[in-house]
Amino acid sequence: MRACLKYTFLLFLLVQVAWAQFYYFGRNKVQYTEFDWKVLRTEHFDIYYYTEMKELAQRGAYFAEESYKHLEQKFNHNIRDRIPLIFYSSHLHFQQTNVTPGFIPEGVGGFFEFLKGRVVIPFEGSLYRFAHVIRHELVHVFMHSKINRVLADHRQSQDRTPPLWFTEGLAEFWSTEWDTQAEMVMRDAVLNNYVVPLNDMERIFGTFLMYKEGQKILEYVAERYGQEKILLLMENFWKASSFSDVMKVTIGRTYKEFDEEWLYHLKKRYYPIMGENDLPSGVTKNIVDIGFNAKPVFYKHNGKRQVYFIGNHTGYTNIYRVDLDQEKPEPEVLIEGEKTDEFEAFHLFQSKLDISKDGMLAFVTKSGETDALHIYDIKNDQLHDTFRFRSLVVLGSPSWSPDGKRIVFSSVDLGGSNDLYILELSTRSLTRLTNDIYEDRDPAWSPDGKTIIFSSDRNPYGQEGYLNLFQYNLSAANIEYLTIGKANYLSPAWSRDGKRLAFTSDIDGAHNVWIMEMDQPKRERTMKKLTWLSTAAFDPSWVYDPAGKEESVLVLIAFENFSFQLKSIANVGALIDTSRMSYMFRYDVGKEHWVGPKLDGPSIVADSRYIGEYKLDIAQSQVSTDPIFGTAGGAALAMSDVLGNDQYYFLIYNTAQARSEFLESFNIAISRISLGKRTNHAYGIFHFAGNRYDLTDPDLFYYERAFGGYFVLSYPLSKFRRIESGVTISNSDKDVYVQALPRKALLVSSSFSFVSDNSLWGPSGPLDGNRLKLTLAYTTDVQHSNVSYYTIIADYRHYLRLSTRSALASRIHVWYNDGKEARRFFMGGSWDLRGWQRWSIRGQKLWLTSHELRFPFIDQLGIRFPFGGISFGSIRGALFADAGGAWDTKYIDTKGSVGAGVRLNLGGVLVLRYDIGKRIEKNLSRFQEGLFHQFFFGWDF
Amino acid sequence: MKRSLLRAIGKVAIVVAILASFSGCAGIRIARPLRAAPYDWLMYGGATSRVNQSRSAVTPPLEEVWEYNAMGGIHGSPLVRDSVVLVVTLHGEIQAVNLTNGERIGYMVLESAVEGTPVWDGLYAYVASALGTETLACIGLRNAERRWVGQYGPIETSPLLFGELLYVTTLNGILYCLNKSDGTELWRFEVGEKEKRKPIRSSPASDGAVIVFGSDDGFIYAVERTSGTLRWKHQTGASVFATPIVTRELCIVGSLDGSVYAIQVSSGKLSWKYDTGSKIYGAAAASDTMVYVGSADGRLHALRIDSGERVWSFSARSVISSAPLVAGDILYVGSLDRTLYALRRQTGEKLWQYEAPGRIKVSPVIWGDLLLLTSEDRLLIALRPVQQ
Repeated sequence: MRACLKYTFLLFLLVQVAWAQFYYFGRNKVQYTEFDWKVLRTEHFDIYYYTEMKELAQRGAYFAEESYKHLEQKFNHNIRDRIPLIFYSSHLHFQQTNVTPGFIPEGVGGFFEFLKGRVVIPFEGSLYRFAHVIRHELVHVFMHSKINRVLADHRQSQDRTPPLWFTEGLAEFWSTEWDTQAEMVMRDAVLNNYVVPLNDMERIFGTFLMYKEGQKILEYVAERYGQEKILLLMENFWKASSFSDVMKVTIGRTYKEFDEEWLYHLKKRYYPIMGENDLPSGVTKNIVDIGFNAKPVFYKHNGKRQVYFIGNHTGYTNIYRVDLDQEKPEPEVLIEGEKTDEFEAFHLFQSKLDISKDGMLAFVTKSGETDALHIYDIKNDQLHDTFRFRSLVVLGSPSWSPDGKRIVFSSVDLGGSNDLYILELSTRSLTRLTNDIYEDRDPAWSPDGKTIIFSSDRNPYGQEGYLNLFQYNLSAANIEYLTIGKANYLSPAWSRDGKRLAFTSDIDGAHNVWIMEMDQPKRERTMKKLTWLSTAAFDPSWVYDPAGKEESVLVLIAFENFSFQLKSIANVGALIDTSRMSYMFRYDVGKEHWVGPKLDGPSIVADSRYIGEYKLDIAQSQVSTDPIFGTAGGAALAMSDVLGNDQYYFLIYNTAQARSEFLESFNIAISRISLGKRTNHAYGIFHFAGNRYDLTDPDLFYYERAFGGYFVLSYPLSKFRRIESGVTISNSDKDVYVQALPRKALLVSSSFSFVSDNSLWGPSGPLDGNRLKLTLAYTTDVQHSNVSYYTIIADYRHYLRLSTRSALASRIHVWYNDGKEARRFFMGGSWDLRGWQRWSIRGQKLWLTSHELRFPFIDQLGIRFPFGGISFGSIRGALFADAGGAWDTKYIDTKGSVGAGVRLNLGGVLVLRYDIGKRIEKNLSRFQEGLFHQFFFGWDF
Repeated sequence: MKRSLLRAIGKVAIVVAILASFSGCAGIRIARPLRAAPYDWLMYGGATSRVNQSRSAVTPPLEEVWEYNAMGGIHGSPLVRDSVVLVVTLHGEIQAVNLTNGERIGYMVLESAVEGTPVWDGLYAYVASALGTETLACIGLRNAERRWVGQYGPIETSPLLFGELLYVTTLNGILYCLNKSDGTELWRFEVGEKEKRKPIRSSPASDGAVIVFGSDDGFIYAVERTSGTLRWKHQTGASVFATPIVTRELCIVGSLDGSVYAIQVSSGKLSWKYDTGSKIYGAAAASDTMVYVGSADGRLHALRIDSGERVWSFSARSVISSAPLVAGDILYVGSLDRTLYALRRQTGEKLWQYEAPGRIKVSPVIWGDLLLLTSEDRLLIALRPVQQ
């Protein structure tokens, strides 16, 4: 949204009154919630929080100060300025932040923004993870400051940073222990032979694998060469421009030399694991092995044994179902996610599914301001009901009561408390089961209806992040330990008869499925290890027949080849009986819950309401040459508040070519963009004067003085749809050099637009979904009646997915201006009618259609030189056909082109495009001689 | 009145004469030997024992006299003699500064960044650089020429001059003993075989009989000063970055394992060990009976030299990574919290503090009635007691 408004602003500067022509798509970052921001000032931090989460902010303040003390010793460095720390009580609130203009995906746990040094962190239901993310981001803050200091001290340019594997690896290494999730990734990479050497790390730039490899590498460096070497890698950063050489002077090994010993070390470390454990593919039956899959649940419908699960196979997350009895199971999409307002996003790895006996599928999606709990009727293939709760922001893992009348689920409320709730379906009323600081998740209602088993950190090891299983007895409303120990116990799943409980535990170093016999007396209960996967098993779910007889089969998610795959494992009963590892819990050990610390009293320097604190984002002077404004010298300033909600832009420049023209070539624009509320708005004033070229008519050269103001409103209906409206008043005094008389006008332009966009993007442009824009506008001269025209813009683009990475993209658009002094549109060039000279086709009316087959061409192109190498990723191919025409009063002809091209994505910010093809002219009746070649930049339409 | 006026005129005349003997900015030219004073600060730690004890005392409160911008980071202590200050920078320069007014007298470009403190010996300075080939140089201050240069590998420590012998520890893990007049190597001591050798970031100190230093391998070494043979070595729990001090027949040094070790110089026997609970990056300072050492958690620990018993401790707001300075009954210590603290040496009571513009990573130095403080952001600041 912010990008859209900024674009609007720039467009105003560029084309002044012709703003009805402004043109864009894009999804919306909707400000659903009006936060009442406050500031907590501690010794080193300014903590921004909102009223409902005060206690959570105090806990975050404690973690932040504790981490600060820890890190200043590690870095032998401190931070000179106060650190702005912006907290949100849930991921959904975090996704509304304006600190960054981009969208925040599900998996992002926080970020550090370099420009103003802001750290933005959501609470995600666990105080342990909250503390971890705070420390992780503070490592970035310290590292950034330390590296800059080292470079400044040695009088070197501060425009370089260590490689991402180091920055992210260190942030993990100095903020958390090596956990079983990290171990899972490394085991899989080593045992399946895809560990990426340090020397080739750019191949996996920005991936989770790179983060974990970075962490493991630094752990190894510390162990093998000494802890102090980590600090020295930063203190020696000035010694070489290549980080490989910094490694050489610090530990005596370049990347290449290090790789030899590091890869050998990994093999020595991980190969012996195969003595006791299995690769998932060796001992389980494969059901779905593409993409990412999670949270399977079994249901038998119309005689078909089906598994329902959440998966992401194409970039969108959906609910799939797959027939277990098919020879080659083919998953089909049951509910499409991330395309509609209702099912805006699934929480892929966080919220399980459950199906009642009568075929009601309960699941959770993000839907507007909060999550929603949906009931889907599998038998009738339709959505049955949806529940939203104003005070419950995030919902998770619904589980049906055996009678199908109630659902238990976990939820994070406005204040960040993560507790269990029961929903009575008939009355739509809620009962809160727990209410404390602990994380409660994965509830599973017992088949006898008497208890709920759930996973929680309410145990002596919870402060270290360990989750145990607990039993909530509904009649007594009390909670008992089911497991206790320094390990994680997750995803409990009851067998149909209530005799067995399957769950996962990492008690021996990797998550595997364990079974507990629940019909034994509590003190005699043992848990037995069912799977021995070398990587990890998650989300076990029992497979049964309608009579309730166990089929001794479990479906589960196994991690292999960097993919979460849906598997099944048979003969569970026999495997339990012959299990070679079992464990009996001692319930008489100390079971005191940990107490979450928080900062209060004198440690809080101040606690006050937030009043906009503005700082500069950009301040620069420049001399530029522009096709419309000519050569100009001036300055631009941009400033915004800490939360990014209010932004101001100041532009001042002069286009004078001689001293005498100075006063009459003075230009200034001031604009304010407000993003803090759901309705975004922007307004500003401008004064432009100077010699101009008319972009739509190259022969038109004129002097113009224009001043006025504008106001734009944008209201997002949802993440995918919005309406916009704007008005501009501009006094234009134009002196065209080839005309005898000057033209004066007081122009008023108004417009109304509807924009829809649910497209999914690949490396060079959209691959799925569709985009639509409709605009109506009217421009008139209210003083002299010199100008009066209306504008219609209609643009529709559709992307038909052909495979995971290929698509057929189509667009058709019509731009229509009609009336007195109606402005011309233009096209031609790499962005629209390819093959034709850029902007060479002009007219007050214009239409264009394009069709393009997009496909992967080269995934990785590496070029080695004696002094090093460079590599390019994501080179895409395209076959295209375009047609269109432009005219003022009488239609002239239709032009077109066909051809092929390649697109190269550079760092995710720039796409280089090369096209070759044939132009078609005379109403598409004749190919022109020769081939055209076009090289330009920009994303695919 | 007349006498003080004459004295002032005399001082000015001396300064003018000295300044007249310098020429230009690019290059350092000191035409005649400077006058020695007992409180001259000519090497890291102020003496070969590195005890960071000043022979003159300045009593707080202090006020700023001048501020000098060295244009590059400073990690080495300033050296002072007779109205001239020598400063080395991380962008590879040795600069001469007028002590009276803080104006630059001249500078000379070196091989690369200088992390340690040079040794000032008459009209020569011995300077070690962190990168390059000719990393050790004897600079003639009279004619701005290199008297000799040596290829001893990267050096991030402060050389030690004892009589005619110059000692230097290197990142290649070697202690060199050189002839100061021509830089020829007399002997070397290596901390392990070549492949396993760890760098030395700890500067050498000496009691006259042995040279002591710490190493990244976690050992504290004592080597016979004249022969280079190992007398003893003592293992700590982590790398030793700090420079040892030698006092009352003890070698005292902190390790990154958080402990202060006091080892008998003669035998290598551990006399006492004190755990600070945090990393120790900087050297200690010693008075007759006490040793003072800062730790990364911002605490300054005052310990009895003979027993290691803690007498008092003081908390700064951030890391203390440089050695304190003993100046009579006052103890000065700087912290990354940008504050120079003046404490009562016997009790740890805070008497005064000075907020510097930047973090303080280098020990202060006292010459006469001036305290020279190095602050991050390239500054050298001269402070003097407030005139009552």
